[in-house]
This record gives sequence, C-alpha cells and structure tokens, in this order.
Amino acid sequence: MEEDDEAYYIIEEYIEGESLEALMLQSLFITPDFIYHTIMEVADILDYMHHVYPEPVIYQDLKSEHVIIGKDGVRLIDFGIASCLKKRGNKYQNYGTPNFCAPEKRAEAKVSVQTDVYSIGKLLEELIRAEGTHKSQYLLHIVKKATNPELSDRYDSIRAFWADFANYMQSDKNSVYQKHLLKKIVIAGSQPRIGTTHLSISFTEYLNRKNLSAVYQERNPSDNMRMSIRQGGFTKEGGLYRRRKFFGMPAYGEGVEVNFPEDSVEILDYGTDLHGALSEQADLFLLVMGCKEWEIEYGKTAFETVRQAKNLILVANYGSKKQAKQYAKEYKQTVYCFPLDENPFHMTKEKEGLFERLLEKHWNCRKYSWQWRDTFICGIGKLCSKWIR
Amino acid sequence: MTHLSVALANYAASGLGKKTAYLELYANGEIAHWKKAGAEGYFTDKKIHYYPKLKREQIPILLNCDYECVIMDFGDEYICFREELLHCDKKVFLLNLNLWQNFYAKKLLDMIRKEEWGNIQPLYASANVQKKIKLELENYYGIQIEKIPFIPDPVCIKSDIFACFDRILGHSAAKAKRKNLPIPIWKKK
Repeated sequence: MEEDDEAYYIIEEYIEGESLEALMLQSLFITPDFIYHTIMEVADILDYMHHVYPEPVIYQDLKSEHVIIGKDGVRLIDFGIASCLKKRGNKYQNYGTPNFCAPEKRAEAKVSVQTDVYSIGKLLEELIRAEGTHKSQYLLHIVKKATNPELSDRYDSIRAFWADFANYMQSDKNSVYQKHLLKKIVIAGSQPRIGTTHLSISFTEYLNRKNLSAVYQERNPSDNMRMSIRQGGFTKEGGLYRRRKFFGMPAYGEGVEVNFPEDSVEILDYGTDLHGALSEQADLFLLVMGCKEWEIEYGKTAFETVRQAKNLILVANYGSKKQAKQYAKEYKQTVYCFPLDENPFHMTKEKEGLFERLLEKHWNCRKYSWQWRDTFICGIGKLCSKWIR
Repeated sequence: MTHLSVALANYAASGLGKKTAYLELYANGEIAHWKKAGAEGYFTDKKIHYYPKLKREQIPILLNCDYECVIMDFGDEYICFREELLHCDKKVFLLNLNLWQNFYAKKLLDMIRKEEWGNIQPLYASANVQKKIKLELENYYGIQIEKIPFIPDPVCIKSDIFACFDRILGHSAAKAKRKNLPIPIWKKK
C-alpha cells in the first residue's frame, strides 16, 4: 500500500495470462485435456479456500471471466464478494453473475460451500459446450448434480465433485486418461548422497503433475523427509505431507498406520538398502549410480546385487553422458542420465523428458505435452492475430 | 489415562520419529503387567522404552538421557507429582465428562485453577465428551477442552488421529505455505 498527497494506492500482483472467457472464444483450444486441467485446478483452489481454518472462505463469484490461464496454471481473480463462512451460514445480498449464481444466492438464502459447487458445475457445463465434441452422458450427469437447485441433491463439497469428475476423466471409458500399470516403483542408490531422494521426489512430482496420483515413501533411516518438513512449506493431510503437487510420507514406525490413497503409485525411496529394495517385488526398480571415478566401483557392486530385479532401470546421476555410455556398454542395457538439478520440487524440461522416456515402455496412457504452456501460447497467438486483423 | 499416554508415546516414536521413553509414575501402575522390565529398568516395544513403576528420584536421571520425548504418566496422583508436572513442557489433564463422573473433573479443575502456570498453560482433554457438561466447564473455568477421538488400538495409531496428537504434543512440523504474500506497507517520507 502506498500513499501520496492525494490518495492511497493498493499495488497488486500482475497476473500474466488470459481469461478463460477469452480462451473459450477459440474453441480449438478447448480440448478434454484442457477441461480436465482447468476444472481440477479450479477445484483445488476452491477446496483450499473451503478448508481455511478457522473460517472457510466461499468465493461466490466463479465464472470464466475470473479464471486466468497463465504459464504457471490457473489463478482466480476478483475476491470482491468472497466471504468467510460463519458457522450458521451466511446471508448476503444478491451479488454475482446470474448464469453462475446458485439459486440460494438469488433467493438471498444462506450460502455455503455448495454455492461454489454450483458455480464450478456451471463452469464445467460452459467448457463442455465450448469444446463441442466431448459430450458424455456421465459428464453431463456430473454437471447436473453439481448444478442441482436442491441443496440436498447437489454435491456437498468440492471434494465430492472433484472425486466424481476425476474418476470419470481417468476411467477406462474416457480415452484421454487411461490408468497406468505401475503401482509400486522402488528407487535405490549405489552409495549414500548419490541423489536417490532427489530423484524419488522429482519422480513423484512428475507423476502428480500428470495427474497420476503418486506418493513418495521414505524407506531409509536418513530422516531427510522430516528434515525437509521442518524447513516448512508442507501441509499435513492425515499422515501425508503435501507441497503443491508433491505428496510424501516420512519413515513411520510400527506404532502408526497411515491411510494410503487408493489407486496411487508408491514411490519407495530405499536409500542404499539394496536388499530391502529387492524384497519389495516392485513393478519398476530404479538404480541410481554415480559417474565420478571414485563412484564407479560402488555402481558395479550395486548393479551386481540387483541385476536380477524385475524391470531394472539404470540411472546415472548428474548427467555425465560419457560415463552413462560406459555403463550401458558394460551392462548391456540402456542407462538414463538424470540432469544436474537444483530443486526436486520444480519440474524442468530435462527432467520431464527423462521421465517420459523412462516410462515409455511401461506407460499405458497417451502421452501429452504440458497442457498449460501450449494452450497459453496458442491462445495468446490466436487472440493477437484476431486483434491485428 | 494409560491408554492415551501409550498412544501418545507410540505417535511420538513411530509418527514423529523421536526417541521416546514412557515413565509410569503412579503407584498402581499397569504397565508392569504388560512386559517384564530388563536389568536397565525398562522394556522396549515399538522402539519405546517403557519404565514401569519408576521411582521419583530416577526421573532426573532419565531426563538427562538422550530421549527426545518423555511421556510421564502420573495417573490420578497430581498432587504427589506436582513439582514434576510443573517441569513438563506439555501438561495434559484428561477429564472424564460423564454425567456421573464429572464431579472428579470439577474437583481437579478447582485444584488446578489455584496453580500458577506461567507461560505453559495446561491442556485439557476428554475422551467422553458430553457437550453440555463440556460447555459448562469451559465457560465456568475459562478453559478449552480438546476432544480425544476414539483410539481403538493405542499401539497402532491411525492417521486420522495425527492432527489431534499434533495439537496435544504441540508439534507443528508442517507449516502451511501457500502463496500468501504479505502486502508491503510503507510510507513515503
């Protein structure tokens, strides 16, 4: 906030991107993939707002105009009529946009989180209409349930809507997102401090960004996960810790039992415990090896120990292609190079490319490029050309 | 009381990964019936060291060991162990709010309110919460009573109880970090 002789100013963050309303004019860009990503991201934001402690926040003004699609994903703007939800429900004047406004709001009755459920249902309906071709009965059923005028027949929370929507989009009925075959992936390293945890976290982050739910599990005594948690930046959900798209759990003892999300891929970080890793009977076994001269011997020993593992994949750390080639020649199998990387929670093009190649054989779902970047660039391009004309 | 203490010890050891000791200090201890203590005076279960029927003079010795979390179970002998209780970083009073037992809770609260707690206020908890009684006590004594969820097995804590135990143990491992950038406020000179 700033002040001069005449007035006070509020300086706000500049959000780069285009509104969903503008993008919807170009129906070419509204693909099922795009719908999936947009709705999931909007639902994620609303769900977060609905779980703010001690008083949840209801947005109340969700519409395509207020959804900004940028390079980094979705942002919601204009919180002018958002409000904290009181325990007894709120009663407000009739603000909002008629098409997106829930009936209880129009009737000036009490509003709740279901008011936002109605609006997200309307947003989904608008996106389906804009896309044109993808009109499944079940998707329309989800819309109908979300926009039901009767509160008792509507989804009671964004999570319930989200679960139904995600289930449908990832189901076999939907060709866009088919389920993957991998359930358990074990990652182990030839020696300590070789980047096993870094790779495991990056891999988990990658899978979650692809909306394939994955959970990192620390299965080594390093306690790295807890140390990261202490640094901050995580939220705790049951026994799992979340950091944006990343889900993980530290090494728990026998005295606790953690509910693990169904249908998610387990990424097990075994550190240097190769025998423990072998005992897991995983669908995929990643062995991380060092490339420096003094690390090669450890790599050889580790390879000999785990060479019988099912679907063994060798990863040479820190991107030394020369040594990776040497390993490949010696062990007669492909060796992947993990690039030099600073932040395991941040996805880079190199890492994304590596994981895509690495999973090619085991992947049962259609590959797709990173939706946001493409849609954003194409959308802006089209709009500019239209404007110039 | 023992049920909650054992559950908290298991959560501290297995959930938070802390080296934990459980000290049973009240006279009619039950832990001794569970397993026999070894020569060092304790037995181990799921990485927790249980010290059954521990004598008061042994407490400082154990506090000087390398335990990261020490759970002391005083049973109903608050007065006997008052000095030890005042040393603790977290003080949990478990109240029974049943219609026919809440007079015990009132008696205890009457005793406690005379105490000078300083910066570390005790935490009141109850497993059997009768809403009306809870509200009545909270208003009368100016306290908050935490509801303890049902814990079927104290040596196997389910993840839905983690949040409650985090509050009790004052553990704030995960700090939420969404992009809540503070608005910079400055004034032109």
